[in-house]
Amino acid sequence: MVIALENVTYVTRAGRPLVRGLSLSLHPGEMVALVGPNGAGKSTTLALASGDLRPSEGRVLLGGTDLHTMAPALRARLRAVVPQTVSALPGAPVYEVVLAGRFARMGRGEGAEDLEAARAAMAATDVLHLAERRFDTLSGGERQRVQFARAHAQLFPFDEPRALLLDEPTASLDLAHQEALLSLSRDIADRGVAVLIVLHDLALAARFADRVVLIDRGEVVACGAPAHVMTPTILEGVFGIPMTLVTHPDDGSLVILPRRVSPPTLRKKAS
Amino acid sequence: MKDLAALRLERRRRAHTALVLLALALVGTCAANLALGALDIPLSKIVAAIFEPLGFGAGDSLAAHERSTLLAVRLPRVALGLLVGSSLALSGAAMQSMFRNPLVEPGLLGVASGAALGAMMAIVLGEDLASRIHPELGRLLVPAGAFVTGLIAAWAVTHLGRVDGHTRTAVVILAGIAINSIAGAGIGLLTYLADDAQLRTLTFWTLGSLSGATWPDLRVATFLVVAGSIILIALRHPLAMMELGEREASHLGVDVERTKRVTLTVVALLVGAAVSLAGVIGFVGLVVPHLVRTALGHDARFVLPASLLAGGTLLLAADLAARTFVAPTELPLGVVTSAIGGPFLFFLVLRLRRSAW
Repeated sequence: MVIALENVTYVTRAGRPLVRGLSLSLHPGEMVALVGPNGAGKSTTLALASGDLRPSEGRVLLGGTDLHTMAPALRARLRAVVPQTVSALPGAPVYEVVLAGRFARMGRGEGAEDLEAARAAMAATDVLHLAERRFDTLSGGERQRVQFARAHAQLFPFDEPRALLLDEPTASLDLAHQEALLSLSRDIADRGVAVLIVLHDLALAARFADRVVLIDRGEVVACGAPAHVMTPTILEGVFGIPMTLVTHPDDGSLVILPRRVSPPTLRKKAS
Repeated sequence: MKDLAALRLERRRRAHTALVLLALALVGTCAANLALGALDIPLSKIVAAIFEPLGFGAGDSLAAHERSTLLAVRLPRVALGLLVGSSLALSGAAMQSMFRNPLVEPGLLGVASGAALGAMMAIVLGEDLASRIHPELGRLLVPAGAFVTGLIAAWAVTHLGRVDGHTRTAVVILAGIAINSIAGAGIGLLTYLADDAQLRTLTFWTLGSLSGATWPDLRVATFLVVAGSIILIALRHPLAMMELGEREASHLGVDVERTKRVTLTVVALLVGAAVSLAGVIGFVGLVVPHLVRTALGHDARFVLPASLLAGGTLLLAADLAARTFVAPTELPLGVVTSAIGGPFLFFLVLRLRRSAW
């Protein structure tokens, strides 16, 4: 088990529970998608798994050790995070941004392995040709790939169980880049990394993930293989609109088609 | 694409060249400060005097009055300028990285005025008493007071600026304004309470000057500044990561809390040492790191050591101007640095309007 959330509850300082008694564990080589409606607690769950938030109750284990008792540098060697928004030093070239992924290993200065990790990561994410460009001159899609390259470099050489956490990485990407990024995540999972990814797009989750965890109001509604979780009944119960599920004519994966609803139905769900 | 190792090497070589140039500029400014003034001492004699004890007795030797000017006045003054300029600039650079904000400096955040309040409290309320107990105690009381209140101000500004685990820039700056005004009220009250002799010391303090430099004062400060600078320079890697934001730095393995705690403590120490010896000298912590960033880029790994070198240079150049422009009298140094810093801040604000930093 690489990451395990054990009965985790998170309550904001204002007393609002965002995640309630949630348990979830990821094995090496497994890609798990967190899906659910807006405000369901997907990003909060990911922040709990990455250590950004400290659970109010329960605990989060990384490689069998409590995440919050671990030294930050060790934690960074075991898991990488790709956040929703991307930031970098103004004026920094792309290769510096990627090399920052090696911070926890470099110490004073980079060694041959760090440079190799950065090169391999940039090659895998197809940003090698951008290496000398200034990060802040890149397009949104390019930045997202560089950010992914940094996480890739952080996990390199994939020799022990590690985790990759992604928070809605496809939000600002077009279709082709969405596909590319999820294929990359899938590829990293196939190298033995446990991948936890927050996704809005149910069809993408169904196509790429081994397991789907459906969350609503801070609780797990359903968890398992995409075909088991994504049934019209379960999805309608959570999203509050009628859905039709069809199989993709080419690869047989699930495609979710929402049916048109009149505004009052949505309002009923929100109340 | 070029080899990554080659790219890195090239980048590092450029930074090292810049550091060497800055070091040379610093040596040049030191020499000018030693040579020029009410009494001009030829540079050849200064060089000879420096190398004489090392056994390189060379031609020109100093006349008695030149020797005493050099050793008792100019040399300690240059040493103090180096200490104060480099600690203020380095503190400013470290705080800008930590807060990810180009407008942050020890003065704006209230650390300098907090330190000044402590030092003045020591002068007005405690120095006489402490000196009667032991002369060294009186000497230590002022820097100690400056450090303690500087640390309180640094701590307060950091904690007030944190909202739900995130440092909010606007709140940090507002907190700095609040601390500055509280310290200002305290300083005003102490000015009201002070007797005539103390009042002169206080005025000297609020304007800032290097003229009070004596060797015994410098001993403690040198130790503090050297130790503090080594610590901050050693933190340049995590501070560079902090410029990505606290959350991302923590993702990458930075011990964010520890880095912040150590940085703030050392900044309070450096600013406390600087303020206790030279009074409040504004804008060095703001202007120097900015000049460095403009020339060398934003990478804290280079900005920190470069600011250390450039800070000494700028302050010594300002002191030379303060001493020579209106000779034989002297302008207060704080007036000169503010005269440079104020317009510079204007320029920064104008530039900020166009960029998203």
